Amino acid sequence: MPFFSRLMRPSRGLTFKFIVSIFASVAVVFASIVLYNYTLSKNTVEKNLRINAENLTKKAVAQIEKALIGFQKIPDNYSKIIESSDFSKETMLRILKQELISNPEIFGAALAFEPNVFGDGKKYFMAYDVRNLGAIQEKLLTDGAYEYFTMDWYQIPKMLDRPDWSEPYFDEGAGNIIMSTYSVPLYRTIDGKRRFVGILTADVSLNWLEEIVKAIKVYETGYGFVVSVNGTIVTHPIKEMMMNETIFSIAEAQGSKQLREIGRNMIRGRESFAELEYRNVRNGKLSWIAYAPITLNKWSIGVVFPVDELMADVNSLFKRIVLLGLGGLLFILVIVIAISSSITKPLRHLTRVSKRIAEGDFDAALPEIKTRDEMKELHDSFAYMQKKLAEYIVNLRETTSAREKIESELRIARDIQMGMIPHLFPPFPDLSEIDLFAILKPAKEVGGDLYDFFLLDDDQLCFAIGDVSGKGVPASLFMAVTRTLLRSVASRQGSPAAFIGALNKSLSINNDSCMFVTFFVGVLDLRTGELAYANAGHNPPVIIRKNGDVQDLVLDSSIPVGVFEDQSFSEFAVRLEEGDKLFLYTDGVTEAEDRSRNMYSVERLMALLAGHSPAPPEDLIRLVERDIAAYAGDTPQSDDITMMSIIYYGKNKAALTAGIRS
Amino acid sequence: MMTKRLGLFSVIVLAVLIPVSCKSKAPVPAEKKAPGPSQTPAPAAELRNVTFLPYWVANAQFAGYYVAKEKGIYEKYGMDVEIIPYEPFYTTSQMIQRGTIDFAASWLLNAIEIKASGVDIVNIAQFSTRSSLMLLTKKSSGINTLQDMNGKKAGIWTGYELQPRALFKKYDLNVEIVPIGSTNNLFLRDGVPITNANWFDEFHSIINAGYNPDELNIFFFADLGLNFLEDGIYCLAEKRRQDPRLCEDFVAATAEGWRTVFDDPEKAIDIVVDYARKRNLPVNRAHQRWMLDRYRDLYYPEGKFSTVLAEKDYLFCAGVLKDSGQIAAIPAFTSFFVPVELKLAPRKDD
Repeated sequence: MPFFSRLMRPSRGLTFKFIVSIFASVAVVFASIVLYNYTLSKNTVEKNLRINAENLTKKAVAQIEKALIGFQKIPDNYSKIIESSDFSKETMLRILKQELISNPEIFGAALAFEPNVFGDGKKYFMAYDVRNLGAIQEKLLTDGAYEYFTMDWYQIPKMLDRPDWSEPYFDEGAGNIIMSTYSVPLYRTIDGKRRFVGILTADVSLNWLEEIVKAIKVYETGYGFVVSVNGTIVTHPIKEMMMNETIFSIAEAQGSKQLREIGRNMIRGRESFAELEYRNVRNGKLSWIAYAPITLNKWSIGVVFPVDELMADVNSLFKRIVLLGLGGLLFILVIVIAISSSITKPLRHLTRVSKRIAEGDFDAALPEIKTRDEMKELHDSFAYMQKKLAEYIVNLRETTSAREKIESELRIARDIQMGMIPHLFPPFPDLSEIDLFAILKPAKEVGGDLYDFFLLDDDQLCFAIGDVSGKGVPASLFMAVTRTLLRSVASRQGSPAAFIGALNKSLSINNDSCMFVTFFVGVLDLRTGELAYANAGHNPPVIIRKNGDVQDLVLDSSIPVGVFEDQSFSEFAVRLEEGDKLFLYTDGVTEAEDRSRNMYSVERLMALLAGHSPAPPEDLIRLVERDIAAYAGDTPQSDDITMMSIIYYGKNKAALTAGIRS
Repeated sequence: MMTKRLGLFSVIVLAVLIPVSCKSKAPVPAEKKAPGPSQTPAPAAELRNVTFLPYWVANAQFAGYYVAKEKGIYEKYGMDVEIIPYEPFYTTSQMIQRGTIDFAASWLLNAIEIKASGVDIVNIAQFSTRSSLMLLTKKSSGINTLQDMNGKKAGIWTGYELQPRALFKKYDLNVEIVPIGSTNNLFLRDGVPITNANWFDEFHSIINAGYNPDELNIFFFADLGLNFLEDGIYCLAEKRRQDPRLCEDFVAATAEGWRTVFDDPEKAIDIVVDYARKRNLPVNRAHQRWMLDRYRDLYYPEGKFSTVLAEKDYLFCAGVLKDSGQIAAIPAFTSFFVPVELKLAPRKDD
């Protein structure tokens, strides 16, 4: 229901929705009751009408048929007299005149014969007696000036072999009255065969029919009418209709298919006592029509019932109920508006207050509620909320300033941390044997990853990478300790395994927070390319040979630094050829996640490194960094990412770099 | 007694009355009088008296004549036209006593018969270009094709048997012709399964007696190769010779009358209904409207009149008459059709 949803769209006020819903519901209930009442009354009236119509129509039919039988009897009887007579012309004329003398209701009568019935060789013999100014005028037509053989009154009963009532006609001679002729075929048995010899007629005025139909009174504007077998209007309250129109021409003029159908039913001898859709010809109003056949002449009588008059009582009751109901609806509307306004008034006030509170005015006065209903509860809740909100804001201000302080300190901590690890590249511009690049991207403000490198003497480069368990300030502090310790142990001891062992010992003592660090230390002899290294649970670094081979450094499985005080660590060695590279990283690289929480993986890293083996350290690290960023998309970084790469040039830096850079 | 149509009476009237009319009326010198269509209406004193006889009672099939008279069109052309009311019981002698007629409307077939019988009439304008006559059967009778008519009875108006007879002969059908009067009642009461009807008149009367068009089968003579033309205007050859201007004016004024009818059919129906009421004829507007609409189809098919009689149409019709023995010889076409030029004044807003 688009109208309803538009009417009740969410932006409408509560009062409006309330009023519309209640008012609409009440209106629907009311309308249903009124409609039911109206339908019931209407059906009752219609039922009575049907009974009434049937009685009225059938009574008229009975009257008409009684009259018709009366008329029919006369020529029927006289035809018997003629058929049993001597068939002389004189007898014929005498019988014809007698028919008129004895039956004043007959206006005229004719006797017409087939050619040569009297054996005189004459084609025409017709006698016509008609009343004229109280006398009976006798006419004899024998010369063919009146071609009666083709006249309906002669030809139809002859062809149909039965008596017949003619279509109605105006008779000017009789003073412009409507008449109908009843024709009876005459037969004579000649040579043992029954042969048609002529027609006897009786012309009957239809004034009596008009009187019967006129007597049908139906309320003020109802009326009766009669149609002939052709649908011609025989009697009708409107004189002009009579004889001029057929029920079908009226239907055509009105453009009414229903009326045409009613007409067809009427002339086919059907009956019906409740058919709507007949338009009263007198006033154009829709009416009921009842009709029944007059079987003797196949005409039909129709009675028109003015619906508006029949329904007048029902309609006036209906109107009164509707008016009463509208008054009631109006009353309900006023009440609903009043109630809903009083309910929503404090709501509207609260709305205004809450806006002011939202703008920071926590002291805004709440409306006073005198009732003790839900509105009061809402008011109290609101007041409580107002109070709590004010407290909370004070609290929040304090918390916020505290947090701001912590954040500022954390920023400083990060600066210090980042300052602890070397971050100037190239780190040894004077050393032609190597090049080195490293980055550390902390996941939070401060991280637990670390890397470091320094020269033990002119030919020994010490470098390390590590990852402290946990994150944040504790991890960073542990990392700082680790890094400081490395520098101190590396200055005294000789081998990477010894460095780690010393480191482990120091960190394991008094490690109450149970933190640990994975750690890798290598010492590279710049003259020979010999690399000695030891590992404490860190991801194996990757060695990228000049020829493109990429593989993990050989390591044993060891546990991180800071777990067991007496742990010993193995030392390994490998020789770097000129152009070989090392790539070290923390698990922040391989465990970087994409949107579906899939990890970046060692395989992807190895493949990337293998595909770009000639790249110098900084390019290589930036490449991996970009690839991780592309892989992770907008997924936040969950762990520190640390990478370090060292290339060993030996004595051929110029040649090697030229080859690569070009 | 009820009686409506005896078709050939009008023919008799036409045949007998025209010579009388010529003798009894002083011819109007054409060169002096007879204002043309474009001229201003002549003063009443100078109007030429003209009588016209329709071949049937007052209804819309003669609307052009009634409207031309009532709307002053004849007067505008300098004529005072009296339309003689058609009477079904005219006899020769009665008609002679009644007075004169100058012009008459007639169907081509009837006119040829008159001409061939020795009355020297001429056709001065042939308005109808297509026969409106048809045979009708009820679908319920099972007669759905011409062949189905074989061995059946057909109710045909007395005096109008020639055209159906020619049709039955052409298609080699054995149909018993039952002469009927002017109503279709015998057909409506199932007394005969076939009847004749004019498209513009009886067909609609049957529709308005409760038969739906889809319950009827229609056989147009025109579609079956028997297109006998109908309405033409006739006068004595002598009048056509002596007063061509009058003939021309009568045809032009009548055509203008028809044009006025087609321009404003409701007004025309008012006039026709008035005429019919005066004669106590049953009349209703629905029927008259139908009739006018059909006359528009028959007379004014593309918004213009054709008043020319084609020689082949004439010879075809006359040939059928001769073959049937109704006439002894076919009158020469040039002696039969002596047309006047149709000088129809343009409409004011044309």
